[in-house]
Amino acid sequence: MQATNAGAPRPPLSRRASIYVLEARAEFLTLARMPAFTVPTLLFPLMFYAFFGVVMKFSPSAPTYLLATYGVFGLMGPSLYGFGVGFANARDSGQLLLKQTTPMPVAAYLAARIATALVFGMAIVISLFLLGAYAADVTLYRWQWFALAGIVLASVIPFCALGLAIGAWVKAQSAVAIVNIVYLPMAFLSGLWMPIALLPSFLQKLAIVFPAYHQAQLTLKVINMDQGGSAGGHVLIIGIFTVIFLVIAAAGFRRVSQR
Amino acid sequence: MSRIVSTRLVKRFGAENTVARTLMYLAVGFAVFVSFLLALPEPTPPVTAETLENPPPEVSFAIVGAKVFDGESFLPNQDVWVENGRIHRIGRELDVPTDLARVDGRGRTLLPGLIDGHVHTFYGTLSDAARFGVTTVLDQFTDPRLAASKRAARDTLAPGNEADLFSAGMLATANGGHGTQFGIPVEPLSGPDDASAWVRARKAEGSDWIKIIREDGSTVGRDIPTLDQDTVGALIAAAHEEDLLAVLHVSTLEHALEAVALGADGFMHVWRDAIIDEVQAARIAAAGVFVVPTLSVTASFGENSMAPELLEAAGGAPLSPMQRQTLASTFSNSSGETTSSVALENVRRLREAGVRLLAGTDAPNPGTAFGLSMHGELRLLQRAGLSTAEALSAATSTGAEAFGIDDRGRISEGRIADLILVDGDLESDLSLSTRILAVWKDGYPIDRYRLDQERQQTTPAPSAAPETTVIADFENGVRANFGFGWQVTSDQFQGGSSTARLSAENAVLRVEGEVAAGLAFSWAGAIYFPNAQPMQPVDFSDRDTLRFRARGDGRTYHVMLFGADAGASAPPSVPFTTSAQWSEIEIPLARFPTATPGLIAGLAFVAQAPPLGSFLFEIDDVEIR
Amino acid sequence: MTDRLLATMSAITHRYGDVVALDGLNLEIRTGEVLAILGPNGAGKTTAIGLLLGSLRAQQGTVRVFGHEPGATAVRLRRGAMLQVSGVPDTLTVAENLELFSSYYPAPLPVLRLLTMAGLEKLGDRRYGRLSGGQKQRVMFALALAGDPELVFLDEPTTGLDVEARRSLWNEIRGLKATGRTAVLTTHNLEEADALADRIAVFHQGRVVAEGTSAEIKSRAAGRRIRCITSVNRDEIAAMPGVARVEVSGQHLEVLTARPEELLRELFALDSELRDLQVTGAALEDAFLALIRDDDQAKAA
Repeated sequence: MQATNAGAPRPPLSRRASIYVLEARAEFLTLARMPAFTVPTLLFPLMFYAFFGVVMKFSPSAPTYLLATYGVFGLMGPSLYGFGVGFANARDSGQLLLKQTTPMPVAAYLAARIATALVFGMAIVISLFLLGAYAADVTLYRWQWFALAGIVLASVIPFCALGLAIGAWVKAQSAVAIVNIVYLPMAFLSGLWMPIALLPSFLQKLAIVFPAYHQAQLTLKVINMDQGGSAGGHVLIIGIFTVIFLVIAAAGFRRVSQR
Repeated sequence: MSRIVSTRLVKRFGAENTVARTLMYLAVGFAVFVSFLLALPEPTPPVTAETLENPPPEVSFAIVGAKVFDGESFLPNQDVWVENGRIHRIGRELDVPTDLARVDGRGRTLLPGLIDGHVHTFYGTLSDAARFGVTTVLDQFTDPRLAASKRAARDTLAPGNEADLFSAGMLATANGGHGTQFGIPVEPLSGPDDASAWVRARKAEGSDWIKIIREDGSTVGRDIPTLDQDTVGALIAAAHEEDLLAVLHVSTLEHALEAVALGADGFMHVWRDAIIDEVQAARIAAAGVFVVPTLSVTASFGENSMAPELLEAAGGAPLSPMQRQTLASTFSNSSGETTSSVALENVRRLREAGVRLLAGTDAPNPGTAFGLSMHGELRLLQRAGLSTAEALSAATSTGAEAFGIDDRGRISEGRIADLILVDGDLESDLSLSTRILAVWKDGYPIDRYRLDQERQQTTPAPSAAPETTVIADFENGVRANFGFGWQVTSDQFQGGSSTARLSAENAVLRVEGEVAAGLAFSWAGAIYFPNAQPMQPVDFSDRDTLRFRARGDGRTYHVMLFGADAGASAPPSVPFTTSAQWSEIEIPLARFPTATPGLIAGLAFVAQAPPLGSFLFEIDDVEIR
Repeated sequence: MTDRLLATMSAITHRYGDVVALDGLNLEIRTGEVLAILGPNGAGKTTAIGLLLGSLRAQQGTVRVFGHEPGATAVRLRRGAMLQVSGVPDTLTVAENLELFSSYYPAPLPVLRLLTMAGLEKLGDRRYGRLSGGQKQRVMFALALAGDPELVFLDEPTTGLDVEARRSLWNEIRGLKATGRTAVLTTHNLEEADALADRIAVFHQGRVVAEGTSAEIKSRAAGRRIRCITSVNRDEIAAMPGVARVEVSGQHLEVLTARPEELLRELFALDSELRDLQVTGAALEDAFLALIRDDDQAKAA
């Protein structure tokens, strides 16, 4: 018996891996079976892109530009909802408390949500790229397609952190409203719906305070349509945002556990 | 335990099973994702045949079943057999050896490599030309040493990625006349007595013909020293004495007619000041004088630049930074719409009179790009009334014959295999000329998609900085003390629509324009190139400060510093603010973080968005110390 | 080794602001027993469970489970818990939830076995959100057992269930003991404690006011309920030794007492007219109420 051992032996890798896989699978199935989540998440970016990028197409390069920005917009959905709303729900319904009584590694829980956002993100990327390539005749070099997909998917990092910060502080009932208040204006003001250059200049100056702006600029760099800031600078700012969000989230957890 | 349990549950349980299944789904999903990305369309050229993705590396091959433009007319369903870099045979259903590499020509058009009748060559421009099917350039003024260095290549059938260069070398102009402002060495003439010795010196230097400047600046409202009629006549006579052609830069009809009388062989621009009448045109035709109208540069002079159309047409073949930059530039003192319509009308009348016309771009002047602009020139010639075949002749056989280069310009037996294969029927639509499937130079395929590697080979060491620290004081207009000088720069080559105009009044540079909303980064302003060649570097490593005076409408402007290695990313920039009062501005070069003072290729003073809207500022006494 | 201690709480004081939830609490959990923590709402039961689970940190005093800090992974691997307010995603099936929880443990019970143990054989493929309240509690119960735990915490497992569902869950809980597990159960339902527990700890205002088997608790409180019609003054009876409670019910007086013989002697001495006499054993509820009252009186004194 190990009763008197100070710590439990570290479980074998295969078992730890299977926790991660099953946790991610459960999280994915949970969300995938909720049409209220999947339909807007998958359709919103596609619809907006179809409208602004394919139908309106206000300039020849609009389909290419908007492909990048709606990709980032698309990833905001599963990241913010999965972490913001999903997390607040799990906490307020006691699901989280129940999991905390088990030996589940906290990392598996977070990884599952990130993985789920990535899987939805891949679906969004595929649908957007399909539409862009075959309905709007966007052609890009292979490295650009991959880089675009990669950077778009990487935007789960700041957005999940933001979602976590919201989820940690906001009650489940108000989480959807709060996420929407953050999500839609930030997308618009960061130039994800319309090119940032078309916004009034004071709004353009404001954009730098949004992580989505920097994420979009990074993505646009791939197709040489960014506003010219340095990639390293954007990465740094996104990193700083992520750290700030995580600190806010951690403060939220501390507040909850002291209650 | 004995209760009924669905067999589905029994089968499913066992976590290992679920984990394995989930991992399998993930792997399949990821594979689908990656293959999907791999399958997305690339901006590759519209290549449909397997053979063209790898044009035969041998210098012997056959293009089978193509429509051929032979330099004069279109011939359907031809086979062209290339042997050791020359055209061996052409005809229907040739008996081509079975082991010869074949290129499927069906549904495609084969034409001779294009000959640009008017360029100014710099390092790197010859490969820029070749990538777009211009396999020969007729240079009308460059550094004779550069021309000499390229001579060996044109006399051999060795593989290479550059167009062949024929050149006038140094040009003949008056002291302080047109051509002296670029920083390329020029020996001016002071009178007819100099002519004979001058021409002999050119011949010794290797000039292939003599280029003479007759330009008094009247069409652009300036007063420029020019060679007089006697000197021009003496030069033409001296050239003919040495068996060299004598071609002229003229801007007015009057100068042109005067030169015809003096025995000139050709004009390197069409005049824009007046429309020629039938009698005058007939006189030019009778004299056998040819004209290179350079409508491309005229269009950009008249704010009708072909740049947007050409960017659209480039079709994925990479443009070098210089091609992008020159295409994006506009003249600092453009003179309105009418000049280009006058030029077009003159070309129309010259054609009707039967004057030989040659396609030429005057690249790399503002609004043009080496290679690519020849396709714009073809379209402009067509707009001036030339048929498709006539326009293509002007870009191939006419140029070769006018300049006496008989080994090219046509697809006929024995000529050099400089060839372009384009997708589709060029006879029915001349704009298909940019849909290039392959370019062969001396029978070797040109790698149209490799840019970076080749640019590194051709980027020269930076020129040394001049002794003076003053770049420009604008006492004599929009001019600089050294280098290529000042031009308008804007976001237009990235699809933007910002504009700027430059003028020099009261000895200061006035920059005004409008920053218009675009998709990405919007800007407009003035750019200064310190090297004789745009976007080539000058070594300013012994200087540390940029200094100038400025005043303006109060908004913030930026100085952008371009390095010679300017890639896709935006150059470093430093802001400065203007007010109604002149202020001295000093910017340490160290404040341009990613630029190397040893490799400065351009210096731009621009208004950037935000805010959008019109702007106006003036600068003076620009100094790099 | 039924007396071996699985967990101890010593001298625990826990406050939420000014409210004292636990006040110098001492509690032991022994191997193989079913311990019921009985008390009214606000007695500190859930706080005690929170401390035993490690989801709360002790402010004063020490908690040890399996000899470790209660939140240690080594502890989590060997215990399971059913919480008062909890759940799993509505859109996952029962089996999917069980499979996930099973994966957390090195030697989990097979999912089919869990379904059987919780009486969910036919519901494995049903989504959690489509289950009845009782079925949901069974799922929670099954999840608590997923890791084949030695120790199971059941925090008010039957709250909100109807009688039938409650009884049926009781059956499953009784099954725990048969497999040699230790269980800690909180409840404010006396019947539940009586029916399930080997040992009951009565909580009141953050302290254990009585501890023992169901029978011991009953007897430690007022042992008998005496019902009669008498002229003796109510207050007089209340002051007699051993009397826990006096209530008037119509004409009758109901008296709870630990010393019924003594009381009866006194009563007959004072009122020979006494009639309609009934003497019954006290229910656990009576004992519980009595214990609480004693505690209140002790504090007031």
